[in-house]
Amino acid sequence: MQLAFLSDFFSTGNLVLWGCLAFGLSAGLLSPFVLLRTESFFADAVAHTSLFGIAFMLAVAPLLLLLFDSLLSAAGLDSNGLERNNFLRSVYLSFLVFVGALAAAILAAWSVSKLRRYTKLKNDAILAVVFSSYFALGLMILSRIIHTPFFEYAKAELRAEYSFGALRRYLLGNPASISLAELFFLLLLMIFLCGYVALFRRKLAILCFDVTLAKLLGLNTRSLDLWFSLVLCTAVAVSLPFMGVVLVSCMFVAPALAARVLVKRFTPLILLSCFFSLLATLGGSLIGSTFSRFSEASATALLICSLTILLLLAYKIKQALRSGQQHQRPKQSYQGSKKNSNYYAS
Amino acid sequence: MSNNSKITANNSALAVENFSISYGEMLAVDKLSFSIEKGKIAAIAGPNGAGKSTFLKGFLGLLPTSSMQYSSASILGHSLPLSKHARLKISYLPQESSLDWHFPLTVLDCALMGSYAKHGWLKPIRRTQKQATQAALEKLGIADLSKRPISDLSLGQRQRLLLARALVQNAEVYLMDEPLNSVDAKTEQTLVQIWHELQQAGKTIVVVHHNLQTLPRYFDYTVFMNKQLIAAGTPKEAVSAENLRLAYGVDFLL
Repeated sequence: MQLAFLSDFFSTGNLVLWGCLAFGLSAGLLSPFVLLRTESFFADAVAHTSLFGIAFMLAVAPLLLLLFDSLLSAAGLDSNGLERNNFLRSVYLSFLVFVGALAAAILAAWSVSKLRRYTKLKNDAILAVVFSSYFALGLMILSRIIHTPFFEYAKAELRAEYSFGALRRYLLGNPASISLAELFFLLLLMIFLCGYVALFRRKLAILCFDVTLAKLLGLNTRSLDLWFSLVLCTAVAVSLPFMGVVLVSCMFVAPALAARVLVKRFTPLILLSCFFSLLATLGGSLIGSTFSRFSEASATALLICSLTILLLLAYKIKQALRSGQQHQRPKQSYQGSKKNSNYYAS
Repeated sequence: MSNNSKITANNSALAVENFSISYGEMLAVDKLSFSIEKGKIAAIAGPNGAGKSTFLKGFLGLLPTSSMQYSSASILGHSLPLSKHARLKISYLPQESSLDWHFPLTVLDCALMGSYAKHGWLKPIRRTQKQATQAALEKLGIADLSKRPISDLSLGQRQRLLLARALVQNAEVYLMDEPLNSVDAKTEQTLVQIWHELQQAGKTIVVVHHNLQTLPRYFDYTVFMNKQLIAAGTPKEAVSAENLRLAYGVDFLL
């Protein structure tokens, strides 16, 4: 029936390809705004805290799964269509994980804003404290899950989601192992972000560049801020099975950073950032599938980061060459007396 | 009496009474009361830390409402807090240093931002809109830079761009925070000339200004303040030797 068609279309290889496409485009679309709003560290913090939500959900999931099964049988769906039921279960489980991650991300954002208001500490200190404590909490729960009596049951029922490797993939990411359900969430995210960026790019650009102007032009800057944070949290939560808690934030920052070196206009920045991001996800998966010991997520992260660094370096060298040509004489004289130039620089 | 106050309210572009702003314990603006008539080119002058910029920001609703107190404050008869409709009548030129000039925008894109509210946030940019923006850039003498990134601009060019963006906004009242700060004489002349054109079109211009020497030349009304109001009137009246001593605590010769 329909599902057979779906799983044919999204066969394992295709699944990864579509995942790369959906995640790559989502990250590329969002990263310019994350970069320009200077929320890179916030994105990282959100990703780390969502591990707490995921771990919590995985701990209670077997119980919720029992509930789901009984609902299925109450609806009279348990007798026929084992394949469909397994698919529904997998959707249900991915959804639970997503909700857990999102809730934890919102909890983190809320804690940060409260702490900021009451302690007057600097933003980075608060973020660091909040995200590492939630991350530690998440790790603790994850390592406990294996020893619960539920785990044996869950392992028998849902081998894929509860093997040790599967728990680890939320931490480190594994594009090759995403399920059909997770892919659907990624595709939904991609479609949503395309719409969001298409509708809000001007408002967000003004919000990033000049808040005062945004206010005077009649924008509700507070709600725009809040919505952007929520969208970022959602995007991170959906992407976690694909990239993992630790590496996901680099994909929400680095593509725009790399594109920023090359272009100085807003719309081209978004487009180029999408291109780089797709390049990284596709290239990363290719490397991962070619060399079997290489994790695809880490290859993707490595690709985008090295691309960024290379571009930045090339730009610096170009700049240095250009200014070297302009001030060749003074530069030579500085080189001749290095001590002196240091003295003046200080 | 009530009739009288109504008339003054109608005539004034910007009016405040007992307007105070505090940062925690510290009072930045202390019970300021003055009004600026429509169609004036007015300066808000005073020493560093007199609360001039803070006053503008507070007036525009950019500071938390809990930090402000006033018995009345209005702009073109719209009282604070400003409605969306009222805000569209105001154009604000922030201090050049408050913006991120490495933002990925071209000069034209930046100036176009002023027209977003009127032309809609979603529609593709129309040719007329682009032409009007280009004309504003032309007026300020930076039309040839329109395709360059804003990071390429010099200090003076940045101020020109900010004024061009304000022109595109087509507001009634222009509030400017030190637009003549560190610009060269030629830019200064261009900017002041545009102010006069705006004045002829019936607009009001309120400028936070540092340079006491140029006050009488550029402005026809001056609010002289140092946290409290010291004087308001024509530049010569407001910045008298007596008032200068009050503001700066030292004798000055202008």
